Amino acid sequence: MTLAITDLVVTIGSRNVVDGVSLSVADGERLGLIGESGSGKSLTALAILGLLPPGARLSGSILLNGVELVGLSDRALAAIRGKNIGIVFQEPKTALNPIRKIGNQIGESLRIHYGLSRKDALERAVRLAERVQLPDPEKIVQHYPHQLSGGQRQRVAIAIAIATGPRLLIADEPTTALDVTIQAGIIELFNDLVETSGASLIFITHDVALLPMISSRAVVLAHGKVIESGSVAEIIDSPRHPITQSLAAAARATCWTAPEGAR
Amino acid sequence: MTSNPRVRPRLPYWAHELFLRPTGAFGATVLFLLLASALVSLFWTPHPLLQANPDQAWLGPSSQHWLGTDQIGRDTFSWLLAGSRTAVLVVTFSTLLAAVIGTTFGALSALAPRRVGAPVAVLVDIFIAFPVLLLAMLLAAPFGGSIGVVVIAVGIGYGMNIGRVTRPEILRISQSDFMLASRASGVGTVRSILRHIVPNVGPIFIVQLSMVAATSLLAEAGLSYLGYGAPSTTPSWGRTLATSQQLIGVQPLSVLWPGLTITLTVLALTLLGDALREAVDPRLKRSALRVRSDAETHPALAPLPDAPVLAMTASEISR
Amino acid sequence: MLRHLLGRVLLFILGLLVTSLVIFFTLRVLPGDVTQVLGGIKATPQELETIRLAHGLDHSLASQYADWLAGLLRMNLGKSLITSAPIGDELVSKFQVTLPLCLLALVISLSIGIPLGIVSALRHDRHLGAVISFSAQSLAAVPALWAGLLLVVLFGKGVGIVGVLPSQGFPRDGWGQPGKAFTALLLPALTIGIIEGAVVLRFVRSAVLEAIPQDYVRTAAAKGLTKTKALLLHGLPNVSLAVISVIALQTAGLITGAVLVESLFNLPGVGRMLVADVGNRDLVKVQSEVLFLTGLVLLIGLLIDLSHQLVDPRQRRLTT
Repeated sequence: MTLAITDLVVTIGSRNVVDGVSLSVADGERLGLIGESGSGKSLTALAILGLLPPGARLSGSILLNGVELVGLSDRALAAIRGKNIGIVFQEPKTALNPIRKIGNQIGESLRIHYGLSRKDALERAVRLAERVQLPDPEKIVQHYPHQLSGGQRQRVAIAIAIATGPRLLIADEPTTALDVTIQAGIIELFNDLVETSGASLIFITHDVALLPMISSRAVVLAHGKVIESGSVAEIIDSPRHPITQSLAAAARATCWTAPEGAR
Repeated sequence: MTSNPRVRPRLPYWAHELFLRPTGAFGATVLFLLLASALVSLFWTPHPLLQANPDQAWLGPSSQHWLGTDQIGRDTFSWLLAGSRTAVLVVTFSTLLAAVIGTTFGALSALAPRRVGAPVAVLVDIFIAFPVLLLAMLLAAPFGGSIGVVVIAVGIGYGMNIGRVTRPEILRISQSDFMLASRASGVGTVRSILRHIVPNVGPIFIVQLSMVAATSLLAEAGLSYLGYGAPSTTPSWGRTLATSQQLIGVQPLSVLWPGLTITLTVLALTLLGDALREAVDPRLKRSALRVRSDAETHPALAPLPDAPVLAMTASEISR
Repeated sequence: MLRHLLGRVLLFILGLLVTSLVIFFTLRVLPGDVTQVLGGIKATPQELETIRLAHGLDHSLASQYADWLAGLLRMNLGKSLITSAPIGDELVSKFQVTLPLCLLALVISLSIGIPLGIVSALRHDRHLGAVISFSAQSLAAVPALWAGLLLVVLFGKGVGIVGVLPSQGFPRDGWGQPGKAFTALLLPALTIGIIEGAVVLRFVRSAVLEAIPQDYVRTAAAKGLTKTKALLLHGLPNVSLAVISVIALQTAGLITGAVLVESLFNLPGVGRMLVADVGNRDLVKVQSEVLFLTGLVLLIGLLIDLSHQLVDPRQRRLTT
């Protein structure tokens, strides 16, 4: 799945929160999207899916495998969401519906896009739960979100995102709200999933130190604009923009070592 | 230095929200008219209030009597004009009483030590189940009706509700980190309260009060109809509404005026409350991404009991 | 969870007790010498003495209160101070008018408030939403009595422009003539129902508005639902928990409304009886009637709270 964003502008109120962003993701590529809070990275992701908050205006071009997404109706976008593109959000505590069982929520996109029966969707949900390494999958699908830990809920969110085998996966700060000890496991999972499926990945984060673990190329965002892009090694070792420099300094301070070969 | 005629002085933010928006402007205008009428009617009304001309009863609108007359010939317009006095009294004192009671019970239930605070909180929750009308009737039974009955019933009933509504906010702030930091750095308790709690709870409080103001007028109308409000010689909109019922057969139009006056004033107070909320809400909270919910500002919503809160209090106690 | 249930029920009982204390205090203690109140200003000392003995007012306040409570526990609400008729019986018969009235008003208010509230929230950024919202705001500013009078002017038999509905009284044989009885309740129920409907509307609207930005609604849309469907399928059921509370909120408003419209439309219900009793200073009746009505509000609050417990899985203790 290829993605080509050109001159994306998202306006909220009178501000351009995304101000002319252009980036591209090749088939099977893993791209890191880096920036501080408020840089517009999450909104870029939401713009791709057509899930911008009410009152936001969008212009520019987003080509998914050559198909223009900007200007499509919500119904058309809904057909693409969850089927060709999967997304995992930042906050596992609130991303799941509190009054529905886990299995129901994982299997929902299968029922929507492929018309699976409840039984079949539930079976698939168990296997997906297994795939994302949730403990005791048969039982856990019968649980409610509040019975799971934060890390487990995030794995559920990942299962939801990959349920239909999407060719583009977007991860919007998936580890930010989790304990550091769990972060590595989640990133491992992402790597595993993307490697086996060959899907493209956009990994959004503010923590530069995570980049080498998950992507080979990165784009740096600040104030809604792309200020730098290049390979992860370049960005961390020889950043050109002052903002990138301060971000990279933080990463280097955490004992970052040379990347294990080009990924 | 010569002033540039093209530069207009900018109003402070709150004044802009309050007076320049249509809702606030409408509310403020009506409030002003209300106060003006009350004041004017103290000195002059088109016809003397108590002058009853039985031979001029049940007249429709005319150049002599702008809104007609009632069943004993009193001029309706004059009575409505003077009725604004009662309205001002009821609104002012109910709001004051509600403010005092709300502050006391809210602060007490949130800030006092557990042994005192918890029972008070339970008490407040129970009290709000009491319909204000029944409370007024309880007071009227032994004492007879009067404006005082209206004020006390409304003040206590809605005051308790304010206490209930402000309690979680006060609790939250008093247990918050910046409160702790403030106390740790040696600032006294009273100053901490004034500096942190008041500005944060203030907006909610003010908005609730505006709702009390609006609802107190509705309560007065209902109570006066039943006979527990102002006596028949005191002009009040509620009474006029009540007596208009007798005129339905003869002058259906007479039903229109008192009701319209009450509705417009209540609406104005409600809108003023809305505008107040917009004006007082710290600017930081404002963003296009946040959709505003207005459960907090509706007069009829404020005084009603909220069952789950009772449950919450019980579990807090049993912990 | 059982412990929580018990706690809630205990709270209810406590509420009844506190309410009874407040009522007793306001009626018996505040006025000072109740006998004087009952007898009137011109009563002679002998008359006062008779009154005092006849109603057990010579006993201490505490024992009077205890007697009242004891009677309540035995389902005996006492006797009228003036007519000596048993209160319980009269209450039951009058309730047969008030209860249907309140239920009808509730149905009307929910039918208006819930659908319109949802619509005004979904379309909050368009004209329709704003119009509905403003209308509801204006409607809630209308005094109940005025609404009633206007309805009478419009639809009242004999008086109104389209005079089709009865505006006064209730058939003498009550529900023996169900058709007539029902039409007699229609205008009064509409009066309460429309205004309470405006209240319900505002509440539902804000509940739905709160659901719109919820993360799990966004997740649902990300799965492939349109934004509206995501809101309706995932947001609303969560919201409906809050909407159930609306019914509890309604109780106090309905009772207040009933008292007012029963007087306006001359219906022989509990409300009108209460008004008369207050006028007659029949303190014993007022005591029990107010307790009954307030107890009703507390009871509904309890029931709603308990149903909340059952419906919300976060509160249920699930065993796996």
